[in-house]
Formats: sequence, C-alpha cells, structure tokens
Amino acid sequence: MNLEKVQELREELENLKKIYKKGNSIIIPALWRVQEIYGYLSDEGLEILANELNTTKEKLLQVATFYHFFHTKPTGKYHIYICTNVSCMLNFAYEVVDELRNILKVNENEVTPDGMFSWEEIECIGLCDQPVAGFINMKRITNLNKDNIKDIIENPQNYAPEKTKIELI
Amino acid sequence: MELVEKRLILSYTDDEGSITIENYIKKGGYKALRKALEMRPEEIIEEVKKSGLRGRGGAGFPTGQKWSFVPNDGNEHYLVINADEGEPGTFKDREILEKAPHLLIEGAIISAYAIKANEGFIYLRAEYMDAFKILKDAIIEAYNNSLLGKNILGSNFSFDLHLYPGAGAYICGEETALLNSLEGKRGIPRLKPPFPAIKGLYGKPTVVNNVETIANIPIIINNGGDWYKKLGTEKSTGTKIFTISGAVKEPKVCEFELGKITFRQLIEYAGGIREGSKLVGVIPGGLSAPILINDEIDIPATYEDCSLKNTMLGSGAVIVIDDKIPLAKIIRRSIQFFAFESCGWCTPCRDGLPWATRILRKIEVGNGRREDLDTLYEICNYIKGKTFCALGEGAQWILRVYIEKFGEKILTQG
Ligand SMILES: Cc1cc2nc3c(=O)[nH]c(=O)nc-3n(C[C@H](O)[C@H](O)[C@H](O)COP(=O)(O)O)c2cc1C
Ligand code: SF4
Ligand code: FES
Repeated sequence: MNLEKVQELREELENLKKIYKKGNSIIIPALWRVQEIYGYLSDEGLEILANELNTTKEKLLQVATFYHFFHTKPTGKYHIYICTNVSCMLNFAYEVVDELRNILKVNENEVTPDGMFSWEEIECIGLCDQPVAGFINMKRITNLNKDNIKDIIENPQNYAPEKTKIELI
Repeated sequence: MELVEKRLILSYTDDEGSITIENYIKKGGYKALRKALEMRPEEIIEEVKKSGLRGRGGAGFPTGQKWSFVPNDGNEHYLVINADEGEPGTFKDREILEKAPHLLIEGAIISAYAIKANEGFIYLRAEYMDAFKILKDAIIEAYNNSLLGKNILGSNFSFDLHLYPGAGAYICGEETALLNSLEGKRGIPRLKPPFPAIKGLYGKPTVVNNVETIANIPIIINNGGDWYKKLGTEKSTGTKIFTISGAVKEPKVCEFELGKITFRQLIEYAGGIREGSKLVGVIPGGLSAPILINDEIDIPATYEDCSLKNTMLGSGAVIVIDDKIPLAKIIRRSIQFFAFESCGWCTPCRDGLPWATRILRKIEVGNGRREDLDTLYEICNYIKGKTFCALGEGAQWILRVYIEKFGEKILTQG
C-alpha cells in the first residue's frame, strides 16, 4: 500500500462527498480522483473507493469502462492524445500520428519500454480552430504538425502540467 | 457587402472577457437577475416563449415550451446545463465557458428560478480542463456576492450550482444518457417518454439545456422577448454562434443574426478556402449534419433553410471540406467516429456502424467497387428508424446523403 496516496485519496473522497450527496453521482468524480492520484484506475485505488462508497470494484469498473478517458492499465508517464476527427484530419492530423508512431515506435495505447510515453487518437476536443489539437496529460497542445510534435517528445516537461486535477465544486 | 456580426453573447467574451465578476458587472452583468427576481416564474417562462428561442444544443426545441412542461408540483426540480459539447467541429460553448462564465451562471440562476429548481449541475466535458477552474472560481465569486446559495439577493429563492465532470463519451451529450452519467452510471440513453421535464435527474422533473441556450436567457430578460423575436427569421429567432473550421484560412467562432448570413458567406468570413484547393462541400451543423454541396451553400444558415435541404443547423458547427483529403477518407473517418462512440445498447447502431466503417476503409485504400456503395446503402436502411437514440440515426443519415450526392465519385476521388 502506498500510504501517502491512500491518504490523499481518502481526503479527496471526503471533499467529494460534500458536493455529490445524492444517488451514486459521486462515482465518476471519484474515479477521476483515483486516476489523478495513481495515473490510472489502480486496484488499490478502486478497492478504497469500493470500500468508501459501499460498492464493489467490479461495479466501479462496469461504470468506468464506458468512458474513454479512464485507463485500467498504466499509461506512460506522458500520455499524448492526438485528435484525428474531421477538422483536424483536414489539417493533416494523420501525419502527426504517423510521426508520433515513428518516433516512439509503439502502437496506440502501448507504453514505450522506458515507461515514458504512450499515445492515443482522440475524437474532437473542441479545439478545431487550432488544428491539429491534442493533449499531453490532459493539457492542451495545439497547432501540431509533423515537425513540432518532435519537440514535444524531446521536451515533454515543457508542455505537460505538473499535476492534472479537475477542479470541482 | 461587408459582413457584420451581431455579438449579443460573444460581446461578453470581447476584450479581456468577463471572467471576473467585476468585469461582468461592468458589462451590465447580473442586472437581468435582479429584474427576474421581481417577476413571477411563470412570467419568465412567458418571456422566453415570446422570444422564440430554440435550444442551441442541436435539436432546436423551443426553450420556453420545454420549461412549461415542468409540473407545478412543489416538488424537487433540477436544472442541468449540457456542457458536453461533443459534436465534432463545435467549440462555441468553450468560448462562453472560458471567457464569460458569469453569463452562464446568471442564465442558470434565472432559469432555475423559472422552473423552480433549487439545485443545478453543469455537466462539463473533461476535455475542457481549464474551464473547470474558471467556472469554479466564478461560482465561488457568485456565492460570495449572494448570487448563489440561500436567499439569493435577499429574495426567498435559493439555488446551488455544481460542476460535474464527463469522462470522454460523445453519447453523454444526449440528454438522457447525460442524466444517467450524472447519476454515476454508464452513459446509455433512457427510453422517452417520460421526458426529463417529467422524470429526469434522480427521477425528478429536470430541464436540460445547452450552454448557449442558457447564455441567451439574461439577454432576453434584459431586453424582453419581443425585442429578441425581432431578430432573425420567424422560425429562427435571435442570433446564433457559429464555429467555422476545416479547410479555411482562419477558423473562427462568430455570432450572426439568424437569416442574415449564408454558408458561403461564413466561409468568406473565415478567410475563405485555403490556398490551392477546391471546395467540395460544407457540413452545416456538426458532424451529424449531412453535407451541402454546390449552390446549396448559398442558403441562409437557419433551422428552416437547412431542414428544406435535408440537413440541419445542429450546433452551428460549419466544417468546410476541400479536395486535399480524399472524400472516402473523410466519410470513413466520420462513420468511424459514430461507430466508436456508439453506446452499444441497440444492435443496428452497434453492429451496423462498424460494418459500414470496414467497407469504407476498403474503399479508402482503393479497393472499392460499385456494389460496396449498394451495401452501404443497405446498411443505412437497416439502421434507419430502428435505433434507440439519434446517434445511430444521424450516422446513417449523413452516410446516405454522401452516397446520394457523390455516388461513384466516392470510389474514385483521391
Ligand atoms: C448523440 C447526441 C449527442 C448530443 N450532444 C450534445 C452536446 O454535446 N451538447 C448539447 O448541448 N446537446 C447535445 N445533444 C442534444 C441533447 O440531447 C439535448 O437536446 C440538448 O442538450 C437540449 O438542450 P437545448 O434544448 O438547450 O438545445 C446531443 C444529442 C445527441 C442525440
Ligand atoms: S443508437 Fe447507438 S448510441 Fe443510440 S442507444 Fe442505440 S447503440 Fe446507443
Ligand atoms: S476536430 Fe480536432 S479538435 Fe475538433
């Protein structure tokens, strides 16, 4: 058990319980907290959640697997999304994807051997005015092309946020 | 002729925007709320009905009418704001959420007062990570100024507003799937009726409205329904925010009086088609809207004109298509989107769309035959009218129109 993470998750759950009081509404915000703290929906995180919310891990996974952002396996330290929906595709999104695959030498949703990177195509993220658009650890990267994607892989720390957290109230 | 925008909503995003409450109040913010609290809820609904405002989320249902379906039962009611903005090509709500959060909050409070809801949720797609912080800060400001919470501005109306995070699922923009998601479940649509206005969130009467719809409410209350109705056409009143993207020089978000601008003019307004390519067509209202070609793009961008041309204004997302990318690839990518986002509940959509995508892939790599188009058309017939929600229906609709308008060109273009 990673006590620090367990502690952090418990505190976050206490906060969420004050916001989402009815039905099972707390589940999706709580799944986000697990993923934010562990990087993915880890067994440990899900077990704590199941305990706290009086449900089972399986029931939580039944919900979680419906949603594209939730990962049930670890991703790379930097997880990159590239939008290939029509407006971005018209601006050559597939060139960016091909370049990414070439540089990283892994397929979609595989992790590089050093654990640093993984990538995924994504549907429209509402940044069609700055194509090609994507995310690195949920932070926007825009106006991508097959050249500037290289810099993102070389210096990911310049683009990725220190921490990813959805602010709720 | 110079094209002049009519920026009712977007004026709040101009300059430094109205992210802080000070800026919003400087731009006239929260006056409408004061006025609304002096009115009876029924009077507000009447004013919104008079305005002719139609929902801006895609379906275009009259907002005032929707509100009047909520029973006067003294029970718990909910307001849910649909900020899922998943329709490809759409980024209008993003502008409001990130640059004019208080306009949305003011609209939410007035709407909640009108439908007698004491609690509301903004269902916000996780893709808009920055908007969570902006909205949260704005909501806290509103609480600190007695605009949210108990006894708003000293009245006997109380209202709490929460943010709820999506987690990546286009179908959760469909209002009943959204409600399931908001209840912490898989985002599968519900059978209608009962409609949410009768049985919605936690089984209670609920109004679900799009962000842009709600942002119009303070403007309507400030100026009156009759004033708003004078803008636009008889069936498409007011202004509409358009987002123009794809093969244009300057993709952008803009707001025009409805009926005053055609799709061709919208392309011009976005700097025209990019260098060295030819226009193939325009998707007028997000990826679920069938394509317009040739002189069809000279129609005014209104609900009724789109409907006459067998398409829809939808979310107002104008996607401009040129010949730099092969048509078969664009069609394949579009149908692949719907196949990927299908919730899996009903067979025609769950099975039919991946099947169509496979055939389109074959065509895309140059192995398509005439018979493949027939098979695609058959798949459309097999989906049409047999799906549980509009996702599958919309997908077959756009595919059908591509086949009807381009025929064998799909096999050869590119
Ligand atoms: C597949 C599907 C996706 C939808 N996505 C959205 C969306 O992202 N945002 C939205 O406001 N409405 C969306 N809608 C429409 C909603 O179901 C609903 O009509 C709308 O939120 C009502 O608000 P309005 O009357 O203010 O437009 C979608 C509908 C379908 C069938
Ligand atoms: S049409 Fe598709 S998205 Fe809609 S309920 Fe059926 S399977 Fe789900
Ligand atoms: S199509 Fe890529 S952000 Fe919209």
